[in-house]
Amino acid sequence: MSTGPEVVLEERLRRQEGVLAQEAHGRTVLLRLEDGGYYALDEVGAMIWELCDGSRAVAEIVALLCEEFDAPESTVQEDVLEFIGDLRRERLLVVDAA
Amino acid sequence: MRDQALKPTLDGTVTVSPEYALLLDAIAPLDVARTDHRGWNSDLWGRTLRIADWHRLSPMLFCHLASRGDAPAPVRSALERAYLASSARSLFISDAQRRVVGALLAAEVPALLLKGAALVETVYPDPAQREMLDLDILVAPEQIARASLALAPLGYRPSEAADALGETSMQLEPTSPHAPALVGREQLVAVELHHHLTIPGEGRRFQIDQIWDRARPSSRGPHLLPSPEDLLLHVSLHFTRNRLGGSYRRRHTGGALAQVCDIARIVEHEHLHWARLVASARSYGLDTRVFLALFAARELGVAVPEDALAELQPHGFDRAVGRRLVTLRVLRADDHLPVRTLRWMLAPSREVLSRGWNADPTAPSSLARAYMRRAKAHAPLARSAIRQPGMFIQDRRLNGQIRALEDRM
Repeated sequence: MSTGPEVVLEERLRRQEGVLAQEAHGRTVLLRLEDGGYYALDEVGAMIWELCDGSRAVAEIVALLCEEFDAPESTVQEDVLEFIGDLRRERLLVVDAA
Repeated sequence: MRDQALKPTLDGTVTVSPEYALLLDAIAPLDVARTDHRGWNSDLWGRTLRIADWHRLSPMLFCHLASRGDAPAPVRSALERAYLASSARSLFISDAQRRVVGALLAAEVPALLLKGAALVETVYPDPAQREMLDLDILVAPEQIARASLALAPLGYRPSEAADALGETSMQLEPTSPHAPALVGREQLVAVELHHHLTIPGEGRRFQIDQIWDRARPSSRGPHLLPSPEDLLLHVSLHFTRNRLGGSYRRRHTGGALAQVCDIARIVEHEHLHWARLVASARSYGLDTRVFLALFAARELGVAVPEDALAELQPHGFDRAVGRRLVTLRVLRADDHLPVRTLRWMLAPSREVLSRGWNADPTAPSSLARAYMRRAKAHAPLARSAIRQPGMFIQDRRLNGQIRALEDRM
């Protein structure tokens, strides 16, 4: 996907109001109620989605995934920033102002 | 698409074509799979996907094949798209359901979920497997108007199509089982408020109060759900309404095997008191209808108990007629079945024209205009009958056999 709004590692993101999620045979389906748009996340995407609950910064999510998948931080960080940018662009995540 | 799928054999069992065998493996598996799809060519897969779509079983087939992991990638991908779309739609409908039920309860209108909404809550562990088109809710007859008013603030109002046909007047029509569908602002989910489960000509002794008396509470919200037996009775009634033909009220639609799948899921997941179902069906005069639905399901591999079927079986029932029903009305996938009577096609009654086509039954010019609108709309059906005269004759013959069976009750 194309790059979304710039994501800062210190930002905390949370799920947009009016977005529903449902497990669907190994995928996670997100539905944006305002227009019926829907998206399917794979296992890693779903994990990032779950971690975006407004309680932790993007940098913490990157660290958690590095530990979970034993992967280089630079690679994970690039992928997470792009993915979260996409979710923001699609109005599925918002920056938590609190 | 015409499928010569079912052929009775000498020992009275049936064989089905590979496409249907795969779908039946998905909805009513046997100890040994009915077919081995390894080695299927793209034509066979293409036909299977089209049939699955017509029968509204693409999501179910996706889950069945995903568990085996040996379908070609393009097939898996096509089915997964259908499955994910169904998952998203089920999310959308469940959200609409939550708001609609909440508004009804706030207006002190008890709500009892029907059809897909009730089935996904009770017998489908994965709601995406059961494609849903709209939200069906039973409310008490005297509360239909109050319920419509309660939903207006949520943006629900009669659809433009209903307005154009003047169907809003049907809200107070006592013989219509539900008010015109209400459509939300987003035009994505229609809500049908039912006040009855039967339509004219079926179950004249039906006691809707008893459905309310037997209803069970939901663990997911303040609404009610039909008892297991009433759930099966209603699904069976719908199956026959869509498959028996012979009357303009019995409208053929897609999804025949999805209805069989509903029956299979109810039989598998609900603790059914078959004697109660038999008693209800008999007391409502619906035993033949329920029998034919359950007979068709059993013929296709659903574990309907033989003794319950025997209790419902109409006198003089010929299994060959039941199997013809399965062949002509279930194991086929085409849009324009010539399943109506010749009279229905050529000489509809004033009632049909006034009720369905908004004609003034006392004005000949209004009736004539309605007749022309109807003829234009049904031209594809007539063309289908002309193109397939053999099928037309077989269908007519089956209609007569089914009518004779129902008349014996």
